[in-house]
Order: sequence, then structure tokens, then C-alpha cells
Amino acid sequence: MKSLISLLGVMTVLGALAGCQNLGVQPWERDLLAKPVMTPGAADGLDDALDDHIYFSKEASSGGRGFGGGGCGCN
Amino acid sequence: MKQGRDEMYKALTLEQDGPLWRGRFVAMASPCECLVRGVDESLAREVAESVAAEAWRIEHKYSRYRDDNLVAAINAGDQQWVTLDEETVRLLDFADQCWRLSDGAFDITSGVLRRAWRFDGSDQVPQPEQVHALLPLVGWDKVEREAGCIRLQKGMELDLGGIGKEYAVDSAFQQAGKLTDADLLVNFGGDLVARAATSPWQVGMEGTARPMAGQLQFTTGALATSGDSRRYLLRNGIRYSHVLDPRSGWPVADAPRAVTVFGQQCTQAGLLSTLALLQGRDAETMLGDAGVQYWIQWGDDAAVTG
Amino acid sequence: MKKMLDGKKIGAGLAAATCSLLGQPAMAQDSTDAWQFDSAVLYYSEQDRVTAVEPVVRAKKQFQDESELEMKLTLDTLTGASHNGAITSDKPQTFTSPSGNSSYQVTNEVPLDDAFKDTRVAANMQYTRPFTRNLRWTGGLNFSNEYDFTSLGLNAGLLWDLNNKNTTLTFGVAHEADTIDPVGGSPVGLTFQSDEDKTDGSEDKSINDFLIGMTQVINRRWIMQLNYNLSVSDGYHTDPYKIVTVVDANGDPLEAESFGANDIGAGDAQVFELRPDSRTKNALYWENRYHFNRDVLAVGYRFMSDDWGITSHTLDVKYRFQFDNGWYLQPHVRWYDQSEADFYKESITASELTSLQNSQGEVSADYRLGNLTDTTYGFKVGKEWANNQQLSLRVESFTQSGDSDASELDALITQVGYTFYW
Repeated sequence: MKSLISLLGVMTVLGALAGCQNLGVQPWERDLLAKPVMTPGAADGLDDALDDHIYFSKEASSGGRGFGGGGCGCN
Repeated sequence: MKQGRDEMYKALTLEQDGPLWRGRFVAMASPCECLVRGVDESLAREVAESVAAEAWRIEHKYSRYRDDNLVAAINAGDQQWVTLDEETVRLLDFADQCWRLSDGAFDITSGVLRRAWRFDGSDQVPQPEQVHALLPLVGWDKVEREAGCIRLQKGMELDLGGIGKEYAVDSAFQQAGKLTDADLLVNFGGDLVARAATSPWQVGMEGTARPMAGQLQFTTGALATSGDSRRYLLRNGIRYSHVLDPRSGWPVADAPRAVTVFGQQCTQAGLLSTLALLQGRDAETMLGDAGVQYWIQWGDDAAVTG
Repeated sequence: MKKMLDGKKIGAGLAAATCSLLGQPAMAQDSTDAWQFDSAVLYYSEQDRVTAVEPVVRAKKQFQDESELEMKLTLDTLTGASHNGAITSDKPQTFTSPSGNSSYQVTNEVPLDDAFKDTRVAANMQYTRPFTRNLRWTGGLNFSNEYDFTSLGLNAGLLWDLNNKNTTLTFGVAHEADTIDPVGGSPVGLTFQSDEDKTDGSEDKSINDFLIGMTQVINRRWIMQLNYNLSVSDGYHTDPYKIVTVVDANGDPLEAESFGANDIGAGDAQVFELRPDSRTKNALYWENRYHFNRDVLAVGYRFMSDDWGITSHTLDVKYRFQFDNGWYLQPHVRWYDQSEADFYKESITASELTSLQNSQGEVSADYRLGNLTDTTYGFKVGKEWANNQQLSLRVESFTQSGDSDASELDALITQVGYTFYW
């Protein structure tokens, strides 16, 4: 039940942010955003995945950036 | 006399504004400019000269107001086969593509309709019979083409005015772009294409009826506008737009006053805006589906953007 | 007479016609034809403990229909020793190896299980495809296998572009089925290691993940991502190789024989740990990327809490100094802090053991479930060429620190990466 409540909380936050129509840029202003370094998850190639694996096996937390499953017997 | 006019045309001025060089000249009855950023004067001049030379070359080759060029030969009305160079073949192939994509709404043979329609702001709407009599002379499908050659039926005319300026912008931009890696903008009477490495170009948008939404910022892309609110006929309270449907010979119903499209190349943006005009009230739907950024001027209202 | 034209067809047709008019290859061509290969070798080395070498290769391709295929292969070779869960004591302690075939004694040091050696192979595949202008679906498969562990996973998701693609909403679900087949069998929790009370056969765990996310362009320089991830797992969560030391009032290890268990040496009162058979994790992740004139700042923050009582905060900051000719230098700092699980105990007393055994309560002395603060700092240096080839080197230092001696750990992370198109 606790998780359901936080889920609803996040949905509300997302909804509120999605309502901000004046945020954002026009297509021709995407010169900087189009670079890989400005793409969450793709900016540093394989670093994120390797980091997630290291810290999954050394800490009690996982997920957030993507799914939390580790596919690894290390924890 | 003609010689004198050519001389006057071929005036190119170059001025400096901080790191920006601006070359100005007149071509295709429009003020033209070439902006180049962060180069020395001699390179700026070389770039501007190459842009002007390309504009003048294309104007000379495809203007229908001359009697000494290829278009004049094609339109001579003697039903002779005319041999085409490779560039003209590409332009006609492009016109053919536009004709197909628009189901015949875009037609480079539609210029003869101007014999009946004069959009001078008056109430001189032609008689239906006048228009009807011209329809046999309109139709790209009536033009005969073979490898590298073309033949028009008697009385028909080709007019590349609907493509020429946008093509000239792209072509001049390509040529000048080979001379330098610097930021570059080529603008022929509001149809423009630009590139920049980092700091974007600021382009002021000018409305046809009233100012459109302010300034655009972009690094790479092209902007083209079709439509002209000054060209219309008004009779019995009905406004006849200058956008003619070549299939009926009559103005397109509910055509927007002007359509501006942002695209990758000027030719692409220009033809999208032209085809949108020809769609009348469906212009906006078409541009939305085409997935481009656009501004539509309906009547005297503010521009609709999407 | 006049029918509605297909704007999508016109847009694409004109773009192609313009390209052939201007004698250019159609725009998308060069990027669609090539596969992008990202490759990297990670060398991870802990002082006195584990060393891992992990080569990865990923191939990515975008097709004409804007769909995208991604395949990744990872090899992970581990050697060295890891903490077995027991306390560090100045009295001798005796342990058995996981297979039960041998025993070893440790005094004055963090007790490590030496027989740690494994090779993991993992393969991932992900396919994403647009089905309307603003919607894309994605589906993926994951497979991973090591000596005592097999994992099979699949995921599906929906990506929804809004506001001129300035907002992208992500909805994803994933299922993972794990099979654990411990060396020497699965120990019975809370029994003495010296008794070797183990059951044959494998144990299972299944994980269901839900993710909702939003990526929002704030302005030309700033993009933000917010994710919420719910992860529910059921089944075998116990680490079959971890034990808990039973201590006396002075904190010294007791003897197994005093509990009626087998005597294999001094300080052998070590019981197998036992964890709950389910876990629900909630994670909130917030990432910001800001592009200065040339440099880029990336700040990520994650909050996680689970029903084991663990709460954690992670802060990750990268700053890319962009230089001429495609060179860049990117310092990286990561800070992590977690609170202990409800059932974490560095060691237990005889009476605590009795009450745990009576209630089948859970206990683990795995330092990774205790209070923990980690810091990572280092840098990456790279060069990008005009043809999008990229070479990079990453060197980072990773330090863990917590309540027990076992949690004090230093490691070096070194990684070489190479990206090319083919």
C-alpha cells in the first residue's frame, strides 16, 4: 500500500510538470540537446551500465535510472 | 538598355558588423544577402561573390522575362524538341515529383492562367469562358519528355518561378559552404538557409499582413514563405486569392494568406509551403502531418503556428 | 474533385526530391546504414579482495522505419575473495568452504572466503519501434548465466512524446526470473555452518519491475529526467555463502559444539544467514543535464527505500570540460549513503540466536545491508573524431565505509572505451 501511495504521488508530480507547456524548445533550437552528451542514459556510453553493475554488487540499492533487477547473483 | 539593367543589378556591397560580414545585392526582383561570421574580409568577399554569382546565374538561366535563355527556347511555341542540360533535367524531375505528390495542384505549366487573372487588387474577375479557354494549355501531363529533351504543345509555357528562388538559395549556399567552414546564412528575399557551429542565427519573422511571432533562433535549417496578401481580387465582397488551382483555373477556396515552413533545405521548405497554400483550408492538417514547424497567416488574424 | 493529400507522404517525398535535386545523399542515409559499436573493458580491483575484468560490446542500429535494435554482450570474470559475513576478531575463527570440503582459520583479519571465482556471461537485446508519430514501443530480452546463477528477463515499454517532443513519458514493465544453484547446496538458515545442513536443488527468485519516467526539455541548454521505479521481488534472497558469528558477552566468537553442533575448530559458532523471502523497493531518480557554452554538467540524485528498512541517497555529479579537437576531460564524483536493514546484525548472541530460531526470524551480517557510506571520485578523458569514433579512459577510486571492519574497502575502477561505426 505504501508503494501505491508513492506511485500516485509521482504520477501527480509528473502530471503537474507535463502541464508546463511553456517549457521546451522549438525543433531548430535542438542543436545542443541533440548531442549524445545531453541524452540521459546515452551520454557516457557503457559507463552507466557498468557502474550500475558495480554498485549493485556492493550496495543494497539498485534501479531508478532503469529497472532494478540485476541479472546477477552477486547480491 | 538591357545591358544597363544588368550592370545595375550586379552591384554587390559588403559591410562589416562586428564579427559578421554582410554582402547585399539584388536578384530575382528581391533584396538578397549573404551573412558570414568570423572570417577575414577577403574570404567574406569571396563567399559573398560566389553567392551573388550563383543567384545571377540561375536568374539568367531560368527567368521567363528574358528572350535569350533556355526557358525562352522551351516556351518558343514552335513545338520543337529542346535539349536540356543536366541541371534543368534535375529541376524538371523535381517539378514532376511535386506535381505527383500534390495530385496536380502544383504545376509549372499553370503560368498561362495569368493571361486571364491579374491580381492587382481590383474587381476584374475573369469570365468563366475566358478561364475555360486557357485550360487546354495547362497540365504537366501534356508535356512530352524524353531522355534529356522536352517539347511543349503550342501555346503552353513553363514557369520555374515557383522553384527557382528556393533552388538558388540552396545552390548558392552549397557553393559558398565549400569555401569556408564558417557560420553562413543565405537569404533571398526572405527565403533562407543557414548553418552555424555553436551560436545560433537570429532571424526576424515578418508577417505579410501584420508582424508574425517575433524572432526565430536556429543553428541549422531553412525558412521559406509562400503567399502574398497584396495579390488578390475583390468582387461583391468575395476575396479571390492569387493561388490558382491549375486543374480548375480558379483560385483555391479558403487559401491562407501566407505559409512559412522551417525545413532542412530551402527548396523543401518552400515547396511544402506552396503545396500547403494549394490545400486551402486543409493547409494546417497537411503541414501537421508532414511533421515540420510552420506558421500560417489566415486572413488578418495572427499567425497559427505548429 | 479535390481530395485530402497525405501530408506525411508529401513531407517525406519532398525531402527526398530536394536531396536528389541538390545532388545530396538523403539526410538520414549515412547514419542509418552503419552499426554503432560501443566497446569497453572494465578493470575493477579491490585491495586484498575481488578483482573483476569485464569486457562489453554493444551494437546499435537505426533502421529506415526509425526502429532501433540494440544488442549487448557482457563477460565478467571475477577472481579473489569476498567477506563471508563473520566478525573480525583477535580470537581465531574456523570456517568451512562453500563446498564443505575444506576448512580455514582466520585471526585478526576480515574473514574472507577465498574460493571466490566466477565467470558471468550476459546478453541483452532491445528493440524500439514507432507506431504513431508520438508513440514508440520497446521490448527487450536479458539473459545472464554464471556458475551458480541463471537469470532470464524480459521487458516491455511505451515511450510517448508530447509538447513537440519536449516531454517524453516512459512506461515500462519488466519481469526477471532467477535460479540460484549454490555450490554445495542451499544452506538451511540459522543452522551452524559446521553442520553442513544444506538442501540439494536450486532456489528461485522472481522480480517484477515497474517504471514511469518523464524526460523534459527545460530550455535549449537544460534537460531533466525524473523516474519512479517500483521493484517487487519474491523468492530466495538469502546469500548462501554468508554467515553470522555467534558471540559471547565480550563479543568473542563462541564454539559450535556448545550448541550441540559439529566441532571443526576454534571459534566455529557461525550460522548461515537468513533473509526475508520478499522485497519491495521504491526508487526515485532525478537527472539534470546542463550545457554551458562548451562544457556540460550532469547531476543525478536517487532516493531509494525498501521494506527491509533500507533507505539510501545517491548523488552523482559529472562535469565535462570540452576542449578543441574533440578532446574532453570529465571529473566524476559519486556519493552514496544507506541505512541498515532491520535484520542486519554484525553478530548475534546465543540468546538472540535462540529467539531467531524459535521465530524463524531473519538475520544477516552482510556489510552491504548495514549502514554504509561510499564515495567515488575520478575522471574520464576522451577524444571524439569527426567520424564519430571515440576513445576514452576512465580512472576512479571507490571507497566504502560502514559500521564493521568488513565494510572498509578500497577499490580502483579503470575502464577503456572505444566507439566506432561500421
